[in-house]
Amino acid sequence: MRTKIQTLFFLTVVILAAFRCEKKIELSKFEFGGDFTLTDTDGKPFQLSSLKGNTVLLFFGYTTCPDVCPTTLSKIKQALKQPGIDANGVKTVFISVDPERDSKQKLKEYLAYFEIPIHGLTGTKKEIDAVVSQYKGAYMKKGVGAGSEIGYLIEHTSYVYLIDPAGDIRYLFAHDATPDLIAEGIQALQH
Amino acid sequence: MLVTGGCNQAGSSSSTLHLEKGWVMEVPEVQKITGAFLTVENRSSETEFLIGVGSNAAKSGEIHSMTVENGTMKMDKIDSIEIPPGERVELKQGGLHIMLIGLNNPLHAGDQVNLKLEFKNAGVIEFPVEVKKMDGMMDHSEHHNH
Repeated sequence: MRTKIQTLFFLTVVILAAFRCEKKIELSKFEFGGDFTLTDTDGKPFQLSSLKGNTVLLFFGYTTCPDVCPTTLSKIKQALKQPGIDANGVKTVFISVDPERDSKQKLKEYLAYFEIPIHGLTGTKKEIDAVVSQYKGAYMKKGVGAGSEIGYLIEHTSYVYLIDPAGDIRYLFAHDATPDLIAEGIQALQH
Repeated sequence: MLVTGGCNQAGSSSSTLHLEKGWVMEVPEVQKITGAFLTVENRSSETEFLIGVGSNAAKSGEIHSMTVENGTMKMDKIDSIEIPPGERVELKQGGLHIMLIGLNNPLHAGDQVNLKLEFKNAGVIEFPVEVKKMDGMMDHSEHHNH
């Protein structure tokens, strides 16, 4: 009798564990994206393919971005702290869509605040536009209504692209993705 | 824009409005703008409007809305926020919020900042709030906070 109860208990634990481990994330392979070269915050050419072998979280933003960009960077920081994540194997790539205001130095200081392994990239507007289009993103400079002192804001794609160690896009995190979901996506690639 | 006029009232409550969950986001020092957030409850029987914002920490303040359409973030400066009688309106990350523009000094977590909120009926209310790290306020981080 006791053995039966123990077996039942064991099976329940296994079933519960299986449900817990069930992945909520379905990875796909996207037919766009790919390699590109932009300029890093030290002024050196940076090729995305130099990160092959790592999991990459790529997104477009700008340092005056009031909400989505800093929040996304904070969420990535939290995701990287989660157990089971090899944070050293995850590189974040932040591509500025505001070359007019985001100098390399400003980008560098801004990104340093978040204390994650990150590559801040910029380029000429033409170079940036080409990468945005390659990743099927979009951005648009926009005045913020009459009398705003903020100058301009940029409406931009707010997805975070999850890129596997081979360089393929495998998932698009929406702006409201939780650190848990981001961690789950990373884990799906790391295990 | 600094808020002027109205009947000045210190504190987080007037007889008709209750303000809570106020905070300002710590941002990297190179960033000269930041977001401020709070919840406003209208305890009166009349519709209230937040019509102006400012702070001692910044040269100006604006009310902004934020939406995401088809994966693209869109933000607009708006003139006012309507708070119907008996309702609460949350100004939060990813939604309606206050932008503080032209920070006078870098803000660090733990600093106190005064928000000046101008309401159509209640006048100007000063609301002292704390600067917090952005990841400290996200729902998920609750378990990880010290």
